[in-house]
Amino acid sequence: MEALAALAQGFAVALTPVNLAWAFAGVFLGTAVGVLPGLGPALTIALLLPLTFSVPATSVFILFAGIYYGAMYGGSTTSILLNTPGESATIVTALEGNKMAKRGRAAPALATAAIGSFVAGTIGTLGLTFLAPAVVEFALKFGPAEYFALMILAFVTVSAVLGNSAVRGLTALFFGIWLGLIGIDLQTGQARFTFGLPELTDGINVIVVAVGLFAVGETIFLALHPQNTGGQVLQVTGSLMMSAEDWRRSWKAWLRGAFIGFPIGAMPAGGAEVPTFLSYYLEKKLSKHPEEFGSGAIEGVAGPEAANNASAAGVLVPMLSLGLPTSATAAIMLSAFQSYGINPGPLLLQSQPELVWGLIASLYVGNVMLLVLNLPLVGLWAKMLTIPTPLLYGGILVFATIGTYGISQSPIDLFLLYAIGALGYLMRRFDFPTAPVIIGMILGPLAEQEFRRAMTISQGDLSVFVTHPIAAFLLALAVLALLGPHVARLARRAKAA
Amino acid sequence: MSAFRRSFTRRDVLQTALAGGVAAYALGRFGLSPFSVGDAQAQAIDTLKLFVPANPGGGWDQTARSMEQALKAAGMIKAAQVTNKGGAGGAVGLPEFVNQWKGQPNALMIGGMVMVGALLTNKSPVKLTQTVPIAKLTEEQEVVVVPAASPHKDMKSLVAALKADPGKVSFAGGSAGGTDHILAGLIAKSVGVDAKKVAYVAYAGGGPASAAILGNQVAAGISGWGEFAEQVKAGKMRALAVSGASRIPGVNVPTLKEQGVAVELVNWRGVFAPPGVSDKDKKAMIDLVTKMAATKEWKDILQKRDWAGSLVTGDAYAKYIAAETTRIEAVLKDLGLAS
Amino acid sequence: MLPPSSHRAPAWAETLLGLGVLGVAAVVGIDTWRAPGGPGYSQVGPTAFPYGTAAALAVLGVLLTLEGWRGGWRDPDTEAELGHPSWRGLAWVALGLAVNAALIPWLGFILSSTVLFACVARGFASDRPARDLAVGFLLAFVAWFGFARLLSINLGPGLIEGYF
Repeated sequence: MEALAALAQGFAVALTPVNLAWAFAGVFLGTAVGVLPGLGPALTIALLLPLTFSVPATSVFILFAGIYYGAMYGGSTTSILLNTPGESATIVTALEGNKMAKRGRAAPALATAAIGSFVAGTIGTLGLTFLAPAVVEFALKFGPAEYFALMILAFVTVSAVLGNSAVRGLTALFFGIWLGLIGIDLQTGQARFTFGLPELTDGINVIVVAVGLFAVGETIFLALHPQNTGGQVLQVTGSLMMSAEDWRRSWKAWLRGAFIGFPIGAMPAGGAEVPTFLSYYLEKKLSKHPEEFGSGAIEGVAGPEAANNASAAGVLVPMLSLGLPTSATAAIMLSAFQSYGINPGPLLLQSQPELVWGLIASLYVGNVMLLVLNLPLVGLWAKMLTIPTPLLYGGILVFATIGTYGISQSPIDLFLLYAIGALGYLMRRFDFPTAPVIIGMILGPLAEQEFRRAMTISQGDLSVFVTHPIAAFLLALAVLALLGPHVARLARRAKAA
Repeated sequence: MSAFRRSFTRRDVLQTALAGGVAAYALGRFGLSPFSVGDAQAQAIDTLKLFVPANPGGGWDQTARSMEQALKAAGMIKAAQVTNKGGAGGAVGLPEFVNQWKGQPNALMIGGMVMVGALLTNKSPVKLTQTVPIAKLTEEQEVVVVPAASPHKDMKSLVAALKADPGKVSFAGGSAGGTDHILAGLIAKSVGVDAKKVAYVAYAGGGPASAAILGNQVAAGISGWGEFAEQVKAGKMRALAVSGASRIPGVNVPTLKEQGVAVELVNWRGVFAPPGVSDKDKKAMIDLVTKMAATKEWKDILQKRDWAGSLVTGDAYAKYIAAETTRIEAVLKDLGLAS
Repeated sequence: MLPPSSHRAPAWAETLLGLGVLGVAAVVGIDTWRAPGGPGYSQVGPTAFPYGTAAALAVLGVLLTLEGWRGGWRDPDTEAELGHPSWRGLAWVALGLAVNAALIPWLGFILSSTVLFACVARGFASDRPARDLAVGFLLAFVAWFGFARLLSINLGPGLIEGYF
């Protein structure tokens, strides 16, 4: 109950008019940069760091927290409407969300994303408030072997997006893994597949690939096959709000997403994307309408959106309780602490209670603000799809350009984006699923690095994946998820015979 | 509904004091804020251009923003313009600075020890010697830590374990070939262990590496003192040694040398002018930085950020860089990362 | 795994695609083979996963080529739905993309994006170039102002950016 009293103090800080205004500026800015593919909260916060020279610490962190949460909301909006994910954690949202939009159900998709983000963000913040010490203790049990097992489990997700041919789906997956391997190898400093281009030394940005495959690829496809636009005029039909059916199908997905997202977000190497993959897979497996997946299932939006917002809260757990920056955004927020002469560490909570609890309280406030800001906009956003096709696709490509060019000002990145767009066209034309490319690109290098770390520590002893109980459990889960259905079918057949 | 929608117009947002603050800051950064021409600071540089070969938020970027802050506060410049071009430890940005910024007065690049290593491991065709070294500004000591539960209480015990079986003593630290890895290599070499055998586990940064150490996943860790200091103070990690010539003031951790490991390494940061600047411009820049280093504003920033000031300018700085390059190249070869 | 249509004539596009995947596998394999091996401390070196990826892509490439050779995997009905390709539409979009990527360092973000916007709109059969240019310019300008000026995200220099 100590936490409650401290939290009340925190609200006293967060609810002052000045700090409310900062929170609003944060969520507003965050939504704006979240919308843009490539520009994320980390870059925005970094660019605003000089504010720390002139504005009090509490206000600055309330602003930053608002940007951080806001970006997650903004990223899903463009995923759903334009098939152009604004953040890597909202790529999965595009899979079902954009299909819903094409069927005239953009408004319910946006609504379930916004409400799910609110629900999960609040659950995550509650977890941050009351469970942080326990969660951190659990998260630190994860070493390279455990993370490798987690990544393997996440790879199972690919089976949910393989499409109707395993060969084509796996081709896409391995192509994605290769794209992920491009750049300097962290473990040995060797450049891999950079072909002498310095632009490739830090790897290819996954957002560039997602936007290229999804948005640019689709633009090329529709320009070349204009007959296909006629059938899918992006009209808003039906109710603007979620129907009772939508609610029934969403709420469990929100909760499940939140409970997957929060702990994985709290893991120092869990990442924001992994929980969205797992949530998507789980929702498809549990759904009563698995056949709708791939053509706009609302659970497939609700779950991953909840998962990414809960994981955003999770990331703050090690940051505030141990001073560990486990994402790029957290690292930059921590460097802002140092501008105030505050050294974030395990003692941060004791030495700066007002700051930490004010920040936590402002997360609750920011979540409410984002819901209030986003829900009324749903109708307005959905109307965007009634923009004439030529202008809509012209606009999509301009936005794709800002994100890509804004990071590096390098035309090479634009060529890359467009080349990947051409590839996306080919894949769509010849029935290759594109989602596995993204999954491979994100999970491939994570799995590789963790595997090699585990091997360096164990001196090449593979048994660590079995002798570490958590790793063994996760791997068993992966095997079960892959083989379970087949075994059940075999068993049924054996019984019948 | 309409009330909500109204609250999204930019005018309203800007009316709230705080977002106004954000905008004012942004405008100010582009030198759009009006300042009187011909004021008392007749000698001040109008716009100092700072080139940061790293993304916003990192150490070099913070050095640049801190310089901007200190120089402006002291009235030595009117505005600064920071350009970021990140990638490969500076190897992506350096060619741009050397080629496109050639001969520009009032321009400085931030760089440091990390760049020396990164240029070598990336086999960069552009060398740091193509720039004009102006001054070394700060340095940070590295620290060797072990998890709180580790049996090793001092460096001697860790070195003994390393000598017995280097494969068993895993070190967590930053990316391969970076400062942390270089220190691991130097320590191994100085105690007679093949640097290539050190079980080095690279992480993307101090946060994930700290998590591995706190979780007892690795035997030891190496990073800048600032990354681990709070964990050490809270008793979650044990600091065995720092890497400088003498102890960090106020920190009761012995140096490597005190414990019989003849290694000294600091992570330094400094500034460089582009190639082709005149001797006069070079001298002006050295003067500017020297004066800045003496200001109270700069000293305050150093203290807040736990950076140690260490001013070395001009030719002495160039010699220092040359010596560092030779030494780092040797250890990178030992580690099998450069040829 | 093989479709019953294995007596059909080879589908050249699909066969080529399969060969393309084999080509990628070859690039991955050869580039890995040329790279120096890892230093000793890394138990599993930087080439292990790339070799695995190359091998997987090679197997998949062979399977795809065979599938293409035996008539391909495309359903003739969906193929018919695609209708006649509009090469004109593709040409305009490609022109817009090429102009943007090639000229953005000189024209700057605003003008280059305006051209991109107008070209893409034209590719989608818009016949009002003046409107497209105007809308494109407005959109690019607002976006540029919001991000470059207010957020100070660097969108690079350009012909007209300096005036604002």
